[in-house]
Amino acid sequence: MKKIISVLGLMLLSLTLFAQTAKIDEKAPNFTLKDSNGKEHSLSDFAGKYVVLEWINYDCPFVKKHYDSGNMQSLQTKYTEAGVVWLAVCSSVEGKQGNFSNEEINKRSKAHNAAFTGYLVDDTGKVGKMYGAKTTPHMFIIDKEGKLVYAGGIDDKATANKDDIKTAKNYVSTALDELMSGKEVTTKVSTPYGCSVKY
Amino acid sequence: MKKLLIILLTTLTLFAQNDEKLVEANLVSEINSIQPGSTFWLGINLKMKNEWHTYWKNAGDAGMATYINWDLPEGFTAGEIVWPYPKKIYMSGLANFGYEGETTLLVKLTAPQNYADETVTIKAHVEWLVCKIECLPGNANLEIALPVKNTLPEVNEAALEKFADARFNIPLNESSWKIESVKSENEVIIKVTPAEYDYELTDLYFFPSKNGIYQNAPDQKFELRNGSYYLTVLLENFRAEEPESLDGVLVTSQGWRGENSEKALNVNVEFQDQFEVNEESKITVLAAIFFAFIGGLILNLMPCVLPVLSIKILGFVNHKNQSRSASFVSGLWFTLGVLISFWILTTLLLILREGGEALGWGFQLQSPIFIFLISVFLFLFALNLFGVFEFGTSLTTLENKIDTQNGKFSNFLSGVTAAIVATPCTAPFMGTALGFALTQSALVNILIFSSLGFGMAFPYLLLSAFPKWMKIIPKPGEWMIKLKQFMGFLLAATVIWLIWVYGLQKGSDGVILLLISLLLSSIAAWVYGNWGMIYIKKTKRVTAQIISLLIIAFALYFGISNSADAKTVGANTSISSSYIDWQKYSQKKVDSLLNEGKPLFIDFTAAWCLSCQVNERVALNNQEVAEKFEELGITAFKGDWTNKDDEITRALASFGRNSVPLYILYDKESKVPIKLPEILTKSIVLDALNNLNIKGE
Repeated sequence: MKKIISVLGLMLLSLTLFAQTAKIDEKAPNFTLKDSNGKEHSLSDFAGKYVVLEWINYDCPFVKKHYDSGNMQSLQTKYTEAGVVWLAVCSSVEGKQGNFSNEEINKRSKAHNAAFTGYLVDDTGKVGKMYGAKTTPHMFIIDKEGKLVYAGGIDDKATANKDDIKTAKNYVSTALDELMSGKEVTTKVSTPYGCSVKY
Repeated sequence: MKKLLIILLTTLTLFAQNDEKLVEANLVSEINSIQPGSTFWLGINLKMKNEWHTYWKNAGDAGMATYINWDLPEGFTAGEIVWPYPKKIYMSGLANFGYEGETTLLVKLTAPQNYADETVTIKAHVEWLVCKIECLPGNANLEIALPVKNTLPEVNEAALEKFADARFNIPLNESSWKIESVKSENEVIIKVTPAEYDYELTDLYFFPSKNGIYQNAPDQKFELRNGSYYLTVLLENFRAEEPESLDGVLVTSQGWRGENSEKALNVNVEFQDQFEVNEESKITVLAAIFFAFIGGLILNLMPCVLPVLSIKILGFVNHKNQSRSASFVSGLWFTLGVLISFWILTTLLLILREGGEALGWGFQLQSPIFIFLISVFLFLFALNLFGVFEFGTSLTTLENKIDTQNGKFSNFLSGVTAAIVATPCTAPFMGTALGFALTQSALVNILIFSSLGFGMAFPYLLLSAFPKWMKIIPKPGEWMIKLKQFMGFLLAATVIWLIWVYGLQKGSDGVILLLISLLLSSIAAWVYGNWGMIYIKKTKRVTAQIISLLIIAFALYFGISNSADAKTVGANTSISSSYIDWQKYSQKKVDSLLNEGKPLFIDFTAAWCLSCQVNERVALNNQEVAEKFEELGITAFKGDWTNKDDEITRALASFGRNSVPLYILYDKESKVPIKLPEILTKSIVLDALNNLNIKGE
């Protein structure tokens, strides 16, 4: 009996361990974070909707590439209007680049005309590590069933040059369009590029 | 207007200052002039501010490789960047590959045949990302003007050191080190084996050519085992692609061409299914031939062969006065009989293997029909020695006919007999050595088996060449019959062992059927011995002979059809009553345990392999070893090769073997097999297990 209990315990433990790393085609691990207005959000709140996670650091040149060009905002506008939940997540820990006060975040977001659903503050880096976020930007898409269906770069031109956006293939919009027309995502994983996440 | 210009200028200088502070880029040439039609090297020299870095071709988790956009005069071409090996730059959970301090990226250019101008100006727009914790993109427009001269160019002394440094850090394309790699679900293991160097590597690091395949941040586990170095690199959870080959740069601080030589080596090797196992002691072919000869000599003392040899020698006693040359001829015929039998057996084995049959030495004993036939044969032989019946010329030609054709033939036949009765003994005692032979070419095989046969025939051949030596043997008499009868018991003992093997192949029903066949055979022998002998009246004799032949034929038919039909029982019966909780070998189970990083032990064995049986009883099947297995969480597998089993033959082959015994141990978190010796003792096993324990802590 004792043995059975310990085995069960081990199984539970391994289950929780499993739950802590994101895997493609598996259920995306749940998390709860406060946004830049102090409001709490959990991934589970958005069950039944497509969710995009965008790792962000306003001071990173690669993030600037996509915000200064307006590329990121236009994606955010297009897809949030179509009912997609778009969450920017910042995992810069305290004292590192990209870790701002809520006022500063809202000021910058407004200046950029950012159109995401919310800007989540992950200043312990816990959620970033759970998802294996490596770069800013690093993009994740979760489908209506809560399954992780895309992890990788925003597009296939790994540069900090705005001019490359026009000719690049955007993985995120391709995947979202495929999902919305009921198709399987063709490119589920790509290599992300950008600055390192400032854990 | 003026204002605008000032603003423009200040922004430009701001940018310039910013760049200057973090990265200083220069375009340098290796030579002072350019010769039309020749190739030459330019370098982009980058000096980074302290603690800042720029990136390698694979930047790692973040960052961006430095990029060059050339603006070349008509006809000039530039190659790809040749990158010095990078440094791993670790940043809280992530790792980048790049350069700190100073580096020079080399590019090979080609000048056109016809170039009329006196000077040439080459322009390069260089873009980079420079990071400390934060990152800043930077760029520079660089140019260099060089005179065009139709003479061999002089070396640019000023840049000599930069080029020399860069070249030393460029990965070598070739080396004498053997690089192998195995990929599993979550990791890749790289095995590096030195060919000629005797210094030791103390570190090793793999830089992948492309990002997104391997995890960059975790340490790579470095191990030394059996003269090879092993490096374990974890694969990325999110992989954009599944790699087919190991593509990247291996770096060791010791150097790849002797100590303090170039530290980086380009590698691109296809993944293998499994590593070839290093042979701890590579025996040369000559040594193998020698050992086969010794083995052949020893074979004469084995219970299956000793009766044949001793009876042959007794034959001499009766013919002490035979002429030397005649006796030598009979010795040669005997030798030829042995050799030809071995050749046929070897050729048969080689042909079957060539035809794709998964067989190794001892394959005869995997065939129940063979076991059946040889049991009947040896049993009849024993009855013959006991005196139940006798042939006109006995089975091993006790009465050596001196000068007839028949004498030569019977000598040849007794050689064949000796070889046949020897086979069940060669497999258990010499399986390993002969297994080695099978990994060699066909010619080497024939040589080794010939040497074995020659060794077996040698004592008899020697005596036949020097019949006078026989004088030390006492006069013929009653003692010879007693000795003969005693030898019969040795054969009977061999038969017992064969019955046991047969039982493992066919179960207890099979054993009963074999015993019935033996009983029938003995009845046939008894009939023949009483009424079929030469001194019985002809009609009676012939009837008796026919009856005994019919009985034998029935016994054989009965047994052979049974051997073919009876369901093969699992040989697992041999692993009952054991301290260790053995599991039946399954490649799938082994693979999945290895993937989970679990330790495991595999015992490749067979019922007919005597050293396997001894090892199991002496070294493995005891409480201490079993407790150690349990303590370390080792799963024990038994690969039973008693019957033909392709899965086990393949598994053996993957370890470079085709014979048993073979003992394989895997440490936890390690996919590197440790091979234990073929002769085990309890302390060898415990030592090996204790070593694991230390490693595992």
